[in-house]
Amino acid sequence: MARRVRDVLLIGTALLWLIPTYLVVVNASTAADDYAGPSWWPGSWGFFDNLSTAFETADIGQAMSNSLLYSTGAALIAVGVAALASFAVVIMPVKRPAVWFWAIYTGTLLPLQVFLSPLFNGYADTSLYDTQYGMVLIYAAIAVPFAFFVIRNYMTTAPREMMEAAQLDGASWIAMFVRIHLPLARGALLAAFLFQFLATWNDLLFGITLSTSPNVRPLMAALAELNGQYAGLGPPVILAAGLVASAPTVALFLGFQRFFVNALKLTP
Amino acid sequence: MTALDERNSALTPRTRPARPGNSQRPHGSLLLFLFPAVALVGILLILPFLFTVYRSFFRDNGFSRSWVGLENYTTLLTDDIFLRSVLNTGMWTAGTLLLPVLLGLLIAVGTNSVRWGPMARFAIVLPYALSGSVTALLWNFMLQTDGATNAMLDSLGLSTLERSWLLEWPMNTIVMIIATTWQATGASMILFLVGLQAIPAETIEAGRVDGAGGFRLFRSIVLPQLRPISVVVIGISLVNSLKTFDIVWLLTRGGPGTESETLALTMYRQTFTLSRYGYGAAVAVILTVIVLLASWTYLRRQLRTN
Amino acid sequence: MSATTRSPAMTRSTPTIDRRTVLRWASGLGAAAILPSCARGTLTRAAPGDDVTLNNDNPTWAPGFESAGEVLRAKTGHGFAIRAVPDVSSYQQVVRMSAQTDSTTDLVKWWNGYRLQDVARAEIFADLTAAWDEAERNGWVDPSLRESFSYDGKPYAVPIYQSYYAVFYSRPAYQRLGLEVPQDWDQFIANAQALRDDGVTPILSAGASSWESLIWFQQLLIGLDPDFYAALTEGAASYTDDTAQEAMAIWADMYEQKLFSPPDSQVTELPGRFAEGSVGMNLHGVWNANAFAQAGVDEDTFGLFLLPAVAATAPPAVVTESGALAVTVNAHKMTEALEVAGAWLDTDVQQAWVDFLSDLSANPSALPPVQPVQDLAAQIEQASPVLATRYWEASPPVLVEGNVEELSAFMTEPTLAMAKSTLQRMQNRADAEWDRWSM
Repeated sequence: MARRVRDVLLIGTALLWLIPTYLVVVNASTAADDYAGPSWWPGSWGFFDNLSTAFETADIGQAMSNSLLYSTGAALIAVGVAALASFAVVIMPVKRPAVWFWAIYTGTLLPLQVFLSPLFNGYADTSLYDTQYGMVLIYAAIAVPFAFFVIRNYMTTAPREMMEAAQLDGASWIAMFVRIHLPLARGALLAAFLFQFLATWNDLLFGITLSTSPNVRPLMAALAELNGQYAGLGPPVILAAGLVASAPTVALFLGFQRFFVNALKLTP
Repeated sequence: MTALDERNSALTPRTRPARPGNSQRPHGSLLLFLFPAVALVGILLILPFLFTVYRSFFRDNGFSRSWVGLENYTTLLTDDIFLRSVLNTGMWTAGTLLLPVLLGLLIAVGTNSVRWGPMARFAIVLPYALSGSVTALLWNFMLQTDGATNAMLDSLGLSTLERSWLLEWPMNTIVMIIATTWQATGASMILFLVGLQAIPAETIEAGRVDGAGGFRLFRSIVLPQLRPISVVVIGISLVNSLKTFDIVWLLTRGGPGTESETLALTMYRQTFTLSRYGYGAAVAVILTVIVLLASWTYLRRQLRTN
Repeated sequence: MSATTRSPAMTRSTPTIDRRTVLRWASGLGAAAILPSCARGTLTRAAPGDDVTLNNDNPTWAPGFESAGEVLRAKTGHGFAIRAVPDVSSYQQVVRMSAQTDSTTDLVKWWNGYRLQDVARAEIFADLTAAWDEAERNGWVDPSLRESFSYDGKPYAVPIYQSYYAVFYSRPAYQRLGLEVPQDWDQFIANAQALRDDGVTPILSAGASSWESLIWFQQLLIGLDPDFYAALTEGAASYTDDTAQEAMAIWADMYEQKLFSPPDSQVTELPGRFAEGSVGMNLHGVWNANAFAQAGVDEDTFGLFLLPAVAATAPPAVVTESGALAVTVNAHKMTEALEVAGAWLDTDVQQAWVDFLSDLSANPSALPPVQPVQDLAAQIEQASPVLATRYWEASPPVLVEGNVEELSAFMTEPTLAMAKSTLQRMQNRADAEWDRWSM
């Protein structure tokens, strides 16, 4: 009985969660000419027309491959760097680990919008402005603190016996890190990667401020071109393009979902 | 790197703090492990922030600046708009600490062992993958006076419930918190799933042998084991809620007037719309102090215990 | 809760998987190490060849700039390489920040009036006196416009376009109800009432969270007394004066009569809603005609008319808005950029530009191929109304931004009491900001 109630509640919640997404799909499919305010029911079919309008107007393909580079690159760097730091703070005999923790974690506490102006000047002075390298760097830096926090906390749960076994083997720090702790923290690494990939993928502010060329601009900047204050393309086009832009992240989630489910079989 | 040193130091027991004389401190590898993270954060995040702190003592229009000492701060603390932002930010913190965190936990635990779990979880996670431009349009659809929510209420014969969702305070802040919950629950759910993975199967089994089941198993075995990950979820939610910007900027731009403004929006508007860099910097500094204090208060105890 | 009976036999991952994971990680980090060889932006610095770079805040304008650039290339030897920042607020920051660096573009789109003065006095734009002189000599531009592009007696930009605020109306809705284009204010109100009584939204008016809240405010003021509007925006009259009170009272009364849409409506819905006849009218910059063109809606669907004056004593007046084209002092190709600015108002260039834009040019000889807009141009030529600068550019930017928020708040609560307190707050801000402006 209790389980029945639980199931009904959970399925109900899931369905409720789908309603807004459904609305997006319906309105993305409405032909742009027929659009006259949001509608609950599909009126006409124009999804692919909307999409081709979007692709003609903005260079979405190029922007997508840029974003793929930034999201993968920044998330990989951030997770790698954060894993190293977590290992140092949790496992190695570092003096004052709390100080190091705050030195890195503080990065996530700062209001990013306010950095735009000093960063722009710094980037312009160092020729990082409008380069893919510069974009990867800033996205990686933004991603480090959160990834560090997740991985660090996860590492504190590592079972002691395994580490002691490694220490008896006489493994070096690096070997210990690579052979024992990285694999153990796999769940946290993947979750951190997923979050940082997504955060970079969906960033607009840094994308439009620190880059200007089509071969550097990330995806959200290209999408914003459809959505400017004067653009008259209409909501269906923006929604259709937005849905396609979200496809890679949705696919990523689906992939990770399999991973989480497999892993979860280990626990009851 | 110095492999020999490392090998030696690796043999020291993990128990921290290492007693002096008992271990050689691994200087070389320490640098290797900590330096990249500290350098990235230090140069690209902390440095611009220090510049912001410096700027907050000036009147600055982006082209020229003059020293005004603490004037920006004193103006701020007597500004009604600022006080409203603080209040709104407080509502955001309370709301997003409560809703997405709790829902994420319940859904993670509830769906983790059922057959249709993956489907339900996917429905919850989907919104998290959607981009800002889609989310903004979507919630405008839902919430504008001629929008989908009111149309739905009307067709259900509930027209008395119709209202201008985004135009009345505090309703606009509340509905935006709900919109955020819709989007953010998936994130906390994933983190809790990761946490569930870390629970050794034996622990659960032992609990079950002791006769624990259902809610008691959850409360006395699962929940304590989820502690480290809960710290992450709550810690991150705390920070994000205090820094709430995107959804408010996209849906109401802080309006009508400045009624739904949060601290991050006040900062952005002062800096970028009004080009008052000094004043905006002062808001940024105060916001950072608030976030830092809140995080420190919460994490200080949590970090020590795990 | 989780009362399943799955076997707990397995422990954590096995060593073989570890190594594979590690390998994957190592390769990931290796890939990351290659990143320093990432591409540089193709458009960061000076444009290749003889072209000049132009930055603006409207990416959808790119085809128009390209085709105007073709004509420019034929005339001056220089075409455009276009950049855009697709967000107005970010765009303003990028121009402000980059103007003093090497990352600036040769030309930028800006605003006229006080927004131009605000940055011109920081000396980031080049003097365009020569360009203006030439344009005036050739009869490409009305010399009276020069003032609003100047700071301290020197012009720092040329007009990108010349738009007017006029009423877009739905022909299907007007035809269904047998309505005529109004000749005076009462007839306009009567039309709106007829639309309302038919269940049509009479006037779509956005602005709950955007600058559009200023549209009806400025319109009612110039409809009562264009001189008062000019004095008010120059800081010589008060927001609490009778004329301002009267304008707000009329606005509140129109809300009271349910002549407006909710303020959180969006103009992006207009083309579709005009076509189905569910919205009657919308007062907006004529540049919005481009949205109708892009949505494939033609002149069978919408028409344009100038809103008659509110007070019988008031002369005909219309609000005008111009984008501004400026040359940055740090331009990579200063000479070329100045030549382009000098030729921008040339009739052939402007013709190519408005063919795309569907809006009017500052050069009266260039007319867009959109019948309602051409008709409006004729109407303006015939009535020769007083030209009022849009509120957005007519006062110091900080004052305008703050007051626009007050107006947005008023639109969500359009009562007489709110009108009074709104005007008081607007005046308080004016007092403070005029002091700051002259500092």
